[in-house]
Amino acid sequence: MPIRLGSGDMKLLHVVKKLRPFSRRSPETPRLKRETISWWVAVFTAGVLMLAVGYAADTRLFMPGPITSAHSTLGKCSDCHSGVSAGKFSWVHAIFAPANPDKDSSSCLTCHKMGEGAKQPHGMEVAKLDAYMRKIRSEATGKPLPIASRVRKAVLPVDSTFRDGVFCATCHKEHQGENIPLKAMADAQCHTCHSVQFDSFNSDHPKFANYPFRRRTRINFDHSSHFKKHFPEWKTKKANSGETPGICADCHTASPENGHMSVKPFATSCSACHVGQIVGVERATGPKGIALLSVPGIDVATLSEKLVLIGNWPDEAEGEMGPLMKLLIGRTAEGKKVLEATKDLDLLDLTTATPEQIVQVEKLAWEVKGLFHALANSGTADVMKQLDSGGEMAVGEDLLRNLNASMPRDVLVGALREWLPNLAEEIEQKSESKQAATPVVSVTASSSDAPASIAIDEIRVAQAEVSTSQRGDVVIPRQKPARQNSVGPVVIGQSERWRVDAFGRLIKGNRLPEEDEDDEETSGQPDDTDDETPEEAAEDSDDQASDETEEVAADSDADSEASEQPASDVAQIELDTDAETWTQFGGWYRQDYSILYKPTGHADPFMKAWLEFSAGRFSKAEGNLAASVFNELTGKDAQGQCTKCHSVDATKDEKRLMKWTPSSIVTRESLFTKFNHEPHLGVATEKGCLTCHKMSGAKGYQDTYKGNDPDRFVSNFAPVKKETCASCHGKEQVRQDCLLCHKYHVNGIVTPILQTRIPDK
Amino acid sequence: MPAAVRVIDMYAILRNTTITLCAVAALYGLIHFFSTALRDPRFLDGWILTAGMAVQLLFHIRKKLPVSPLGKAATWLKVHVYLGYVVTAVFLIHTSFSWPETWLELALWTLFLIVVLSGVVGSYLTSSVPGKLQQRYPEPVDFQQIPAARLNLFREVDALVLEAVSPQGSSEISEFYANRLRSYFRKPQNIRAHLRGSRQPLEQICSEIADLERRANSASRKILLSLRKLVVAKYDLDHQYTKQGLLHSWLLVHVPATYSLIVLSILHVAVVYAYSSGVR
Repeated sequence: MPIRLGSGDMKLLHVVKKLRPFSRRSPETPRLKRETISWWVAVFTAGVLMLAVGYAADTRLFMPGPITSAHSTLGKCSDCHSGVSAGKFSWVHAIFAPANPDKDSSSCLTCHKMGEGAKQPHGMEVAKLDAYMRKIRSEATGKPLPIASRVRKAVLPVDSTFRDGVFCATCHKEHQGENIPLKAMADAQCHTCHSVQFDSFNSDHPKFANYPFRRRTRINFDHSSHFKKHFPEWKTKKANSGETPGICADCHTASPENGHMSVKPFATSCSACHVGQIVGVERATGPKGIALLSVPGIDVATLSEKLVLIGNWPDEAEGEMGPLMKLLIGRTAEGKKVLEATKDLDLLDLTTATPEQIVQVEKLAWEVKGLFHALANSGTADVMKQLDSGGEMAVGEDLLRNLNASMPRDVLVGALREWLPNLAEEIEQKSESKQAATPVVSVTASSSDAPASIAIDEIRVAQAEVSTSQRGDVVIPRQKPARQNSVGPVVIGQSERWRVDAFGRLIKGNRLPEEDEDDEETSGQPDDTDDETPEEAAEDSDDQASDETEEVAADSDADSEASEQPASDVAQIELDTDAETWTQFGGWYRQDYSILYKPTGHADPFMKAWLEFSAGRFSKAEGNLAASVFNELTGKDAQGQCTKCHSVDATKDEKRLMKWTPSSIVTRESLFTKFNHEPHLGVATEKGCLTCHKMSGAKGYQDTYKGNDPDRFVSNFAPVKKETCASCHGKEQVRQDCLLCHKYHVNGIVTPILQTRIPDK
Repeated sequence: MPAAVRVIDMYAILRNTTITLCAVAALYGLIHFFSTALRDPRFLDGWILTAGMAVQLLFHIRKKLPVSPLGKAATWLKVHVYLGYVVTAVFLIHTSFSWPETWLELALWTLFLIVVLSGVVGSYLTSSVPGKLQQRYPEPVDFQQIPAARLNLFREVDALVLEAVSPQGSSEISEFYANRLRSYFRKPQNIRAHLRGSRQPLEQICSEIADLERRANSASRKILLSLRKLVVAKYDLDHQYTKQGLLHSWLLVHVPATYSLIVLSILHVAVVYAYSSGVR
């Protein structure tokens, strides 16, 4: 009989209700059993977790996702999460503690250095960003905001969220996997903050505004005039054939690391034509070097007549002090005052000068001597350090080194030996007279045939016993001719109790200590000086010069020996060429009563240092000595011709800023756009660079550099239009997202070098 | 089942599926919208996930309250099932559609997978098994009463066989019972055959009883006829036990795994907030 399932007698099953339970225990329902099991499982899970926390090496076990491979070497969670410490259970406290995104971002910044404003939008200082925002807002004015943006702004307002800054974790989401792109950003994320919004670059991205020219080129290079005027043969030239470039790549090259199109160095691109202008070969008139130090010409005769004595002064000196010298004189307040008082005076003709002006001239002369003495005694670096204004104007070691261009000591000492042979002694006595607060009588060592004069300042000597009535008693020596090796202290007047030395000091007693040793030399009596033979004079002068050298600066024996070389001997050497011509490769040389520096070539450190120094202290205020220096060095006929190519910008505070280098990846910092030339080089049309950079043909490029405003300019090239880019970046598969051309961290990110100790072994 | 009823069910399934898909799409859009506003979407989708799991847990509580004003259990079940799919989608969004790579992730993933898969299986069983049982057994035995019913059958067959063991009776029946049927009645048998829907074990026993019948006298045949009925009844009881057991056994996976998942989720949330950068 076939059996059908479910055909059993169900009545048999119904009797179960009457039966006793199968077990004596109360029946456990499946649900109850399930609950019991579930609770036990939950307790087991919690127990396992507790054990895991307790026995695990650290809390990385509980990471919600793996960190990127770049961060995987970070040892502890607390390396990045500032809210927790290294303890195993410290995170429990942190659950209820408020998060500190600012501190967390600071953890990131220990490795990824971003400088000031790192936590501000775009890593830019608020003031700078505001300027950009104003510009963008003006572009956005009148344009309706997309609906999605309106909703987003209404529902998730940005301003309140980013009031305290945009922190790293806002965009860079960690714990999402080892290989996720941490830097990836969607266009919509950019649009969260931006007022100008659009769907894609190709569709409605704003048109480029004069891209990529934000300012005039830093290097004044007129492509147009060079092509038409200077390179008439360029069309027939091949690449790298001689001095004339044939193709753009002869002067420009794409840096492989960042794709920036840079200008090849001066030596490659410009030197062939322009180095002569720098070293002065092509200079027809005027000195080829720039005077750093000079003995200015002073009307010594008039000073003598007016009984104003300034010690030895070369009467042949006729030149004026250059701006650099004036700047050095003006390093002290007194120097500045003197310069200001004498600025309109014709120092070579003081016949009409007032007594006050004469006093100022006297002071100027001593300031000049003081400068020379300081330079010879302490070194150029110490003197130039006094130019240091501190703060932003601080003069660093490098600048100091270059401001004096390592001037050899002998250049200065040699010059002083000829110009101001008694300088050390004069300064010493001048200094002593000041300390003693005794009346000062100035002495002028005049020209060889003018008698030495004595002037006793009535006011100063009123207290002294040397009265005007005694003048007749004062023996006025006929001083030695004002040769460079003239003798030192000269007693120019004396009474029984007092005498007056060459510097007008009143000294008690009627003999100088030196007189005991050498009466003849120091008596000041009209002796046989006039009858002295040249040989004798030279001998005397040799002794003096040696003493002078020893006093100027204690030096090595070798130097001493060298400086003991009689100056007159060197002067007597007949030379066919003058010093300037001899210094054909640049450097220091002496001419007349000036020490000059001739640029050695491109990027001469001396010229660069003085330009930077004076530019940083430039001011339009009257009497600004740095401005005079700057104007001197940037004039049309200035030595070195630096500003023929290097542009000068005016800063906001009316200072000047030299632009030494052309645009580079560094100068493009703080810009929101980036462009990599390299991938485009292979896809350019047969026009090559001209595909994007078309010559504008506009006139007035050179006029751009007459002023100092870099934003007012005429470019040789027409701006690149958006359509040029969109011709490729509007097609499928060619990226056109925001981050392709724009950068968020405009100031870049620097990874600091590791602090690695040098191994002991 | 009438054809009209089936059409309505299909419509309900289609409607519920559409609602589910729309909900998933809406949540995905919301999370994406949130992420483009320079927020961390993982907090948003994490809390959506948590909320979804909490609602799922409410169903568990609702089941403990047979008499509840919170709607029909059947409606709750439907919501539980469809919301389960939504929560699964949110879970995948929360994990950025990536495989687990850390220990905690792996544990969360594994438990969530167990809960979801057991839920899907349970959902299928819940929708298919009761109907079939109802069709075959208009008055099915309550799962909890099955052991008692089995005992009853065992005692009854025991008594029947004792009756056969009499001076007039043959010893063949008692020997057959002792060797073949006693273990059959004592415990649930042929579970695999029931899962497969096979009747082969039953046919085998009935065939053996038929052999006995051919050699038995009239009294013995009467006993064997009763014995055959009890064998079929036991087979039906085992069938119900197997099928109803299925309905209960998946829950033994689903519920404990859910409890464990809750514990891990609490830890996960705590850790996330402890180490949060504050950008949410």
